[in-house]
Amino acid sequence: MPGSYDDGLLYSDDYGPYGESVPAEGEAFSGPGSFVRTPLLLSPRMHTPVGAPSVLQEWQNNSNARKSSAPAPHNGHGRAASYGTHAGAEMPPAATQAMYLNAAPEHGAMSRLAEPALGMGAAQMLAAAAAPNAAAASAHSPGLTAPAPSPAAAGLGFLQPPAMQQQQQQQLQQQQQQQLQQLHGDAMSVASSAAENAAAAGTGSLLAPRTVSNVGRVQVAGARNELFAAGKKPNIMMTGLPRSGKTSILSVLFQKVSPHETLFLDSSDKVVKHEIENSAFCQFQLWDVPGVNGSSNAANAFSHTGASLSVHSVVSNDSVFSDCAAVIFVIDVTSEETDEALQRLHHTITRAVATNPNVFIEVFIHKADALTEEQKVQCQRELQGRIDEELEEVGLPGVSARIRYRATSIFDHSVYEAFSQVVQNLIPETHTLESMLDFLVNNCGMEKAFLFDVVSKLYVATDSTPVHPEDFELCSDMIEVIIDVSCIYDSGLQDAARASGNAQWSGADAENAGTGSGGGGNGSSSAAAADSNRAPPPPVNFGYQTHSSATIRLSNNMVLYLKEVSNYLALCCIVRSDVFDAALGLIEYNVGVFKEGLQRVIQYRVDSNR
Amino acid sequence: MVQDKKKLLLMGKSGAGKTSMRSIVFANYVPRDTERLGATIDVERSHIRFLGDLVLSLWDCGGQDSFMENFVGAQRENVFNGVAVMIYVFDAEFRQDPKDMSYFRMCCESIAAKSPQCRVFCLVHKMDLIHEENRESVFAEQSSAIRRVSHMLPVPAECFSTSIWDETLYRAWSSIVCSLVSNVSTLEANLRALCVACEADEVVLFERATFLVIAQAHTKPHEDVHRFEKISNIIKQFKLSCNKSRSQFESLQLQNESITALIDNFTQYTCVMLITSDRRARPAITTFNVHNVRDYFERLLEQVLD
Repeated sequence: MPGSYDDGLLYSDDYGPYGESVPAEGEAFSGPGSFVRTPLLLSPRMHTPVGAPSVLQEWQNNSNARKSSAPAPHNGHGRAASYGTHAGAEMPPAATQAMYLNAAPEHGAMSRLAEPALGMGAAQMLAAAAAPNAAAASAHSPGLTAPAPSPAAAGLGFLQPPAMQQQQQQQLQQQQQQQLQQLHGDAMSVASSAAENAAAAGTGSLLAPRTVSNVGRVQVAGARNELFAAGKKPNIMMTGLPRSGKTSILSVLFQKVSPHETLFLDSSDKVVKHEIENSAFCQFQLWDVPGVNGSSNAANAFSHTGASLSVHSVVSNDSVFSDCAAVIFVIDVTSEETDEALQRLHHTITRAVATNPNVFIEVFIHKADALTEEQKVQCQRELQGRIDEELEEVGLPGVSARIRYRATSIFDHSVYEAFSQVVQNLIPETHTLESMLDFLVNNCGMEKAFLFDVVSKLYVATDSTPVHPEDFELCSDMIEVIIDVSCIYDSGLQDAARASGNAQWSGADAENAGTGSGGGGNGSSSAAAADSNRAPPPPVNFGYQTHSSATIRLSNNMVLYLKEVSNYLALCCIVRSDVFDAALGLIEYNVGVFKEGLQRVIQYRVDSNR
Repeated sequence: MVQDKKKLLLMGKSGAGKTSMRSIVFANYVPRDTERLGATIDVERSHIRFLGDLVLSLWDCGGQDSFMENFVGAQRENVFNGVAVMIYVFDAEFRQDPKDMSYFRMCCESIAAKSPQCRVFCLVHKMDLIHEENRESVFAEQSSAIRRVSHMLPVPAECFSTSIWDETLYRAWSSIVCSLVSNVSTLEANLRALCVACEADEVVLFERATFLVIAQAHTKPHEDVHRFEKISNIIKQFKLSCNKSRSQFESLQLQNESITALIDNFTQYTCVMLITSDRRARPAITTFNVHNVRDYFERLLEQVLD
């Protein structure tokens, strides 16, 4: 092989790198005469101007869209190649700009961005945007909302592409004015109220218009505050008849057991407590409360008579519900015991609501992969109808509106989506995050954005446009691809990942062993009311690290863009490819602003928990 | 230029998983969907265009006793003539079945008589059903049994342990199709040149539809020898999920602290993956280089397959 390509020369003639390497082994290419014309290759690290045609291309695409005066000698990749071949000899006018890009390679995105931004006369926008994110800041220090209502400040520091700016300027300005007033109003109220409440300030300052109009939400937010005031992690309780799939759901979601392996899980007969501590927003306790087997009637599970079983001693205690922020009831649609399940569900609801009026009740209509779409809807309607009737009989008609029904299956993404929504209910900052994502999506011309907890692949927030299951699936699968590929190639990390995998497995085994001995009736640990099974904290390196970013292009002109924004939190966006190509710098910049805002939200949570 | 079809025989006991693996590798089935497949009756022949000019004629032979006896008996000429590759699938759970071994022996005899050039691959399948610690010993035992039986073959049989639930299936099938591509070394020499020019750690060429590994070159050693099959498996799963939303996977670019990975559609029938650990390398220029060599590889592949 020729010694080095670092010399800045281009190998464009017949005796390029291929010309010299091929004939040694390739029988098909015995003589130089039969050579296919050799391709042009560049050293990826070249710092001479010629190394930048493709960067230049991108830049030109950007600048052409904005500045018609920009020299545009070439377009299209084929032309870029030919440009490269003679660039060494003569330097076209554009090459000087290419050199400019190369001179500051680390800030490639910024310099690409800076030019068009200045071109549209938004120098002050950059400057203003450099100031901390107004949204998050307002929650902490009211003083920060004071600056003059320049569009940039109101726009939360996000930049907009010029085209969109024209279209939306008016509309946005109105919006921003509103928001600014709101910000000021809230800032004052925050300042006046001595007791600064994390969630109230966080959601109120951003989303006041909506929360005011929705009284129910305000109440809910209040309830959440109490939960978080103590710095306590919310509890989620899972219950349902035996073999309905509770433990399977948890092991698929949090122990990465593949769905087809859950067939081998034993039925659990004790309460198992899982501590989930992934990203900042994915922190809770999960109580896996097994259904009670056999002939015992439904009410028995909750009565004191069966106290010999550990399940009973836990479940019979009302304090279980007062500690729970959400109760998930799993119903197996393939089972024949619908009546029993409904009876149990009814009982659970009345008890839970009696003890804790703020509890979220979620019904997972599980194993729904056995049903068609129509059957799912029908099944849900039937269940809901029967439960509503029964609740009305008991005099709790208001409760039925609070129950969410979701069709789930561990064999597709439905269980992830359903669980994501359960978790989102418990995050006090949901509305703050949602509006931050809204600003990001609107200002960058994105289609959809999700904030994912990468460890569990649950999304903790999304923008306010409706979620299409396909979008969620794509983003979720993308995260899986990124993690898997990263794990393979981070050789140093590989061992860590493997070790953590083992740890999770051994955790699962220990659990199985525990239930096995409990089944014998004389397990030493069964005396304990609840077996605390602490899920291992996420490994330090999960193959997914700070500064990860990824782009996947699809044939339907969509781009999936993933960017790490905090520990185990990834922003996953769906963008049209024309928008993405034209405004990559803008997107990167705005994601940076989002990231900064997110840090503040997280920091605020940490501070208030302390 | 129309190429001769390469004839592949897929044989083995009924229920061993022949049709399942064929559906996953060539027909984009999700592993779970294979539960729905019924038993194959007689022979199901399918033509698969691989890398454009390579046409695989895959004979999926039903495994019930009556069919097997028919194949080694009355239809022997028809079935075993001109075979390029025979793939014999053993069920890891029922590996002790003496009948299975005797059929395998008969198949080997027929191959040795009718198609002496044929290569034989034995897959010990459904390994996921064997407990993890026993897998190696089960596989060793089974492959020595296979070797004892197949000693009459002019080209010794190769054994793989496989499962449809992980990347082992891709490892086996990559070896199978690579045995049909004659000039892999030429391809790898060119990939090496590309790898060096891009200052990449490794370059891998995948067939686009199946994502099987065709050739690879690397400049830095990597401890995991099965990483490419894992990538095949990962990307294949993702492609399936793209299909669900009526789109197709085109390219992936990943950057983290240690590597930059690029997976991109390459020639008409291939995809390429470049892994670079040099932090100074710019993905834009790597992409540019890949675009530039595209035409060259297009012609190279045509010549390799001739």
